[in-house]
Amino acid sequence: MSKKENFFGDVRKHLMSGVSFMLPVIIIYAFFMVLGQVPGQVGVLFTSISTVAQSLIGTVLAAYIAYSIVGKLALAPTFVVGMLSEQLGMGFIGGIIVGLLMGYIIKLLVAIAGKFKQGQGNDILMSFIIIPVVSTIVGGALVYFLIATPVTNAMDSIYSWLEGMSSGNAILIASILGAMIAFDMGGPVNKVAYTFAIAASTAGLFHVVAPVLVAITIPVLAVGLATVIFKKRYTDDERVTGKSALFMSLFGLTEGAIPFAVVNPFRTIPAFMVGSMVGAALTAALGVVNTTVIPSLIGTIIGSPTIVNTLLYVLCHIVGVAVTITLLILLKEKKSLVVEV
Amino acid sequence: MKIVAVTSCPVGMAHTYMSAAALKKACKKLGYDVRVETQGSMGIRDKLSQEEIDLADIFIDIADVAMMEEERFKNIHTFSTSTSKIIKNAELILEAALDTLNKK
Repeated sequence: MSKKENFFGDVRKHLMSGVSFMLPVIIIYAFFMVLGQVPGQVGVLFTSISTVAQSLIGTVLAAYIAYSIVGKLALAPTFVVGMLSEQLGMGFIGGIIVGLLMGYIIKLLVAIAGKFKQGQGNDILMSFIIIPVVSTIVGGALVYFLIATPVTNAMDSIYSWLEGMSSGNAILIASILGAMIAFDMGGPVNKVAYTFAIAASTAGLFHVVAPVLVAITIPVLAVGLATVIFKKRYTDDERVTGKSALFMSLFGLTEGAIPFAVVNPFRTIPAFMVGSMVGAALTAALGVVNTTVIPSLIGTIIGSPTIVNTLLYVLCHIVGVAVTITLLILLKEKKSLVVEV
Repeated sequence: MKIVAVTSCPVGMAHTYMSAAALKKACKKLGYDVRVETQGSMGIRDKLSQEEIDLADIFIDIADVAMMEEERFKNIHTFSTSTSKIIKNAELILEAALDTLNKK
């Protein structure tokens, strides 16, 4: 496969690896933000933990994107330059840029080092001193002098645009994000939309978070319920998968809907997308705000102090789920009935 | 035909295990011997030993993210794909993989 042979390798894989390591940091940030509501010193501790976790999000992303590119050598320099970019306010996008930058700089340095005589002495010199120091100087300088300002300017414009968005635009953005979430049910497109919502939330902009969280739960919850309500239309296998989808919906794992989409994407994915879009748009239209970033029932239970209008939030789920189930059944083939004979 | 594979997706929970199951099902149907290692959020499960890898004919790389302990697969014929592709149509991808082995 040619992707692996060129210098840049599989960029998408590198980015997804970074995301993979970054996700638990986001979970910690989110949980402790909510737990911080507890009164007294304990609450203060939890909020501090959340703030620390928040500052690690972009850094961890950067470090593990670079790790995917060159392995262990990437970690120390990229953590350092990553923290630098975080302190310069480069956030998320900074994390991606720094990760790729440091990864490729180090890869280049390793290739150059390969031209010198191999041996333990050189290895130690290279891996412990020269590569870390040179990559940090080069990466650090590029970030500080060249990259930081354009990136922070770009992010400031995106955030002011998000902040000042008219309610019409808010509904539009919510719908687009909702569609993206449902489109590949946990795949890369879904991750981009989710990541965007998280990034906005770390900047204090919460109005895209609730729509996205609603969109996440709708497909999997809807398909699980459909196999229960409309038992006769589904095969035994599908009903078993439906049960596991219901379980996964408790945790906001949209992936639970995938088995149904795989069997017939054209009859399922549009239903998922429309349902999520409607749910998300309604959430934005009703002004529901969620300051946690954890979807679904678990998230709702934990986050309920911070959801403005919990009832409306739940209503948006119900509407979206109802729309999805309706479309799923309307679009469904009669095949399942035949199989039961 | 002895097949070894590693699955790994970003979240490390769903696609990782779903693609492993899909591959096993397809191999069972086509009569191939398969051993799948999963690298999910809880770490490496059903880890492939170097011996198993050395005895296999082909390695199917189903990792969407960077793989742990990749050096084990240095010397085996490798076919790369993604968890979504395997989940969608494991048999098709399997045949494409074996094709590359035959063409060698």
